[in-house]
Amino acid sequence: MSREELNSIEKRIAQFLAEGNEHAIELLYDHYADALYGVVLRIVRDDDLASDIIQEAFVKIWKNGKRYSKEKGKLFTWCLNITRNRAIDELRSKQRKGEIQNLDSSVNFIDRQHSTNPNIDHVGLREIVDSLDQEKRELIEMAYFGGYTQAEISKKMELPLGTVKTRMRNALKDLKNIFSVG
Amino acid sequence: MNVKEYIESGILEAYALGQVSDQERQEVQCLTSIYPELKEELESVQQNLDEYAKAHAQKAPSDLKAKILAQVRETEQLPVMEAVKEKAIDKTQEERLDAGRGQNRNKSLVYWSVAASFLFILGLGLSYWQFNESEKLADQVEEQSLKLEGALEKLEKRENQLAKVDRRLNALTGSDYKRIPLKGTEKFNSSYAEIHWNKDAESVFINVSGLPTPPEGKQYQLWALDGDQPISKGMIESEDAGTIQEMLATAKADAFAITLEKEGGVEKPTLEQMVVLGKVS
Repeated sequence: MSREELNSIEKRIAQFLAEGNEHAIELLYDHYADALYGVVLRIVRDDDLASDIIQEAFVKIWKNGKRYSKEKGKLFTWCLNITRNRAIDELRSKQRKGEIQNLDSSVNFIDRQHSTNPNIDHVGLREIVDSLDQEKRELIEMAYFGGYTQAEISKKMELPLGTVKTRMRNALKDLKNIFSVG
Repeated sequence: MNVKEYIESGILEAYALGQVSDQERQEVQCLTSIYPELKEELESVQQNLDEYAKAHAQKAPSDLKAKILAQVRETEQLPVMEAVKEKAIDKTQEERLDAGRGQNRNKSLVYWSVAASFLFILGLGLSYWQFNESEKLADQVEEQSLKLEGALEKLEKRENQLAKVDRRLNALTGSDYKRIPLKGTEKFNSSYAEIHWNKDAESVFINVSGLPTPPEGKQYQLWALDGDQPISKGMIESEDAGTIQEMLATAKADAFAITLEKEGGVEKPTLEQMVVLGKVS
């Protein structure tokens, strides 16, 4: 799907949300559920829990739908933040209870995962994995899927905080290059 | 502010990843609304992370959509604003009612036998505990709603500040504003200041970053000289009020000057205490 098409769909969904039309959630689901589910699954590593979180997140998006405005950023970004925050809260509470395994790299996780979405027309995970060096990949994964703060990453990787900040910025820059090439 | 340095610091990335404190978050939100370059950069970082997320897409379970839609149909949307506060107050009342009910219910136990009277006491204790707990909850809710009110007030204050910042920014960058450098007099030769004056709007801003902190009990006073008539244009506040300050409206002036006066100012400038001076060219 082209960016323009996506923009016009986002506009329509936002309109529906503001009007209280449930069709908004249906459209949102059709376009974004797989992306959101993939992120949540990678954060909590549990299919049932991931489904519950997605359900809660969609209901929250619906409830707060009238409060979304373009100034808050793209609709997808907004939904993604709500969903990811919910998943990271869950992860944190699991970590407090000591129920969580170490964060391993996405590569291993993907290999264990039998089904990836076959018909995505944007850059796939394989490209990211192949193009980013391991250190940068781990850094992004720790922040994005592990929910680690920069201070926690600095402690865990035994790097000064400033270094973590710079490396994170560089890692995201590399990521951007991958997307703009793909 | 150095926008480039701010971008280089990596704070926008941290913000987009949700790795910032509340204060930093407010700061980023405030600054991105002022500086278009920051906003653009942030959007690019977010776009980037959106793509990253999409690359991790996995087929969601097939029954999930129906479940979500069913729940959404039963869920009311929150109104645009204010909803949080109202809800908090409703809850307080409900909880007080619940607490009252709990107490009455347990009173019927008094008609039972000796064994039962033990239960009564237990029940009473339990009910008292319950009552306490819900009182505590009610207090918490009240406390929260107070906090929320405080937050709303703060927000309003911030918005006002932001409007001020906007006006100042406009004075510093807008072409409607004439810049008049004020140079230090011989006695105060390391001092300087700069006036930004919009004659049509009659608004005057001053950059006071070149004025040293005045001695105890003294304050700088700005004057507009119209012919040889000095007119006070207000007192310059301490640096805490900002390096750019808005002064009194001025439609006509041949020159601007600042004198060092007693706190609160004077009616006529003390000429030997003139700190800086600049002619309107």
